[in-house]
Amino acid sequence: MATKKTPVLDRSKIFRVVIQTADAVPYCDATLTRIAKVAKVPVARLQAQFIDFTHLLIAVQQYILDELRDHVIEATAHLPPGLGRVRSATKVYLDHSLQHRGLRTWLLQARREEPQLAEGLRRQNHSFALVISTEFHALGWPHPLAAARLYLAAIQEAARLEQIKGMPLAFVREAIWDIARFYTGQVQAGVAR
Amino acid sequence: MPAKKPASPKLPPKAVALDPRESLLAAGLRLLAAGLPAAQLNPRGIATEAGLKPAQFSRNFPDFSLYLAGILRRLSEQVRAETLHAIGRKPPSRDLIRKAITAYLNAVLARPALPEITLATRANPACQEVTRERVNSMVMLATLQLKMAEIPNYEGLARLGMAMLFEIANAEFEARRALPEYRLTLDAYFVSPRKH
Repeated sequence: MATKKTPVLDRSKIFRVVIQTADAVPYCDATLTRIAKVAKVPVARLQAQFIDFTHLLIAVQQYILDELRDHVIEATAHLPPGLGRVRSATKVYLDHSLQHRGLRTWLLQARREEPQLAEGLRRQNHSFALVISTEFHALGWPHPLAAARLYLAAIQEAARLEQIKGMPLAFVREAIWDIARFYTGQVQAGVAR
Repeated sequence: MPAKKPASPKLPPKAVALDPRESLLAAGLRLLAAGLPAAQLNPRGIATEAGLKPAQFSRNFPDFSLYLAGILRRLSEQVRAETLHAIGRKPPSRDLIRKAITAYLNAVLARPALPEITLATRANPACQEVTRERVNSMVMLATLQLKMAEIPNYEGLARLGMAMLFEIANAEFEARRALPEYRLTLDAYFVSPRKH
């Protein structure tokens, strides 16, 4: 007698459910059971795949950071090094963060409690900073890694501010473009001069 | 002419009569200033340093995280005071912004317990609140300085500039030393014309 096979769990479907749920439910109410219910899968299957809610969030964080990286590459691969490329990459980062506003809120809260999540983000930030630093290096900035790390901190703050308002903020984006103009050598002095 | 009364020597901080809570906080700050890593702060050691019984610690701070929040607040106040001292009553200028940046970074670097406790207690609401207040107060200070220095888009630049400043403080905490290339990178943007 043939045994009925359990279908393979569609991880990207589960991740999309997490992203949608994060837009509707506060982090304090988020549980594996809730995600299982929305995804219409038994909670035991999610446990078998992800162990617990924290590990599910770690997987979602990686998924979303990989997606962001792919979008940045897609938007910038055809551009020469310079302000245009840095600006395109920054815009993708900020727009992507706004699109995943709920999930970002969850992750910000979860990272305070779960060092593994914070460590995942730290490693990804390091990779992003290395990529940005090669850009600044190619453009002749004398301390490319320092500039990249500071620029990334500015982007993350810009994303955080826009996340609070739920929309792009002109004064924040103008400030980030000004910093980008300076570190890519498009202007000879900073602070909007 | 009556002989001038000799000035009474200043009492060392340890001997000043403070209420027990203040004594315990002052004792913790002294231990940290003497080089004790924040992770090694403990109620018994703090009470001993304060000249109190261990039971008095738990009576005044039933939750150790509330004690750490108090320590964080005082360290933040010290950093802010040193930053404000660098600004003084001088007229606003880009050079003054550079001095304030340097003063802030030096003040944090001299107090590794500040980032150490901030990181260790980031899930604690009382400590989060102190950190939020510190960040907001620095953003307000930066906004005011940039506005008075007539820098366009001072609000956006103050927000992002402070994020960059905090990142340098983090990098210097990780390295346990000043990182001139980071300071120059921020200074170059906020203060001086580009020189390369």
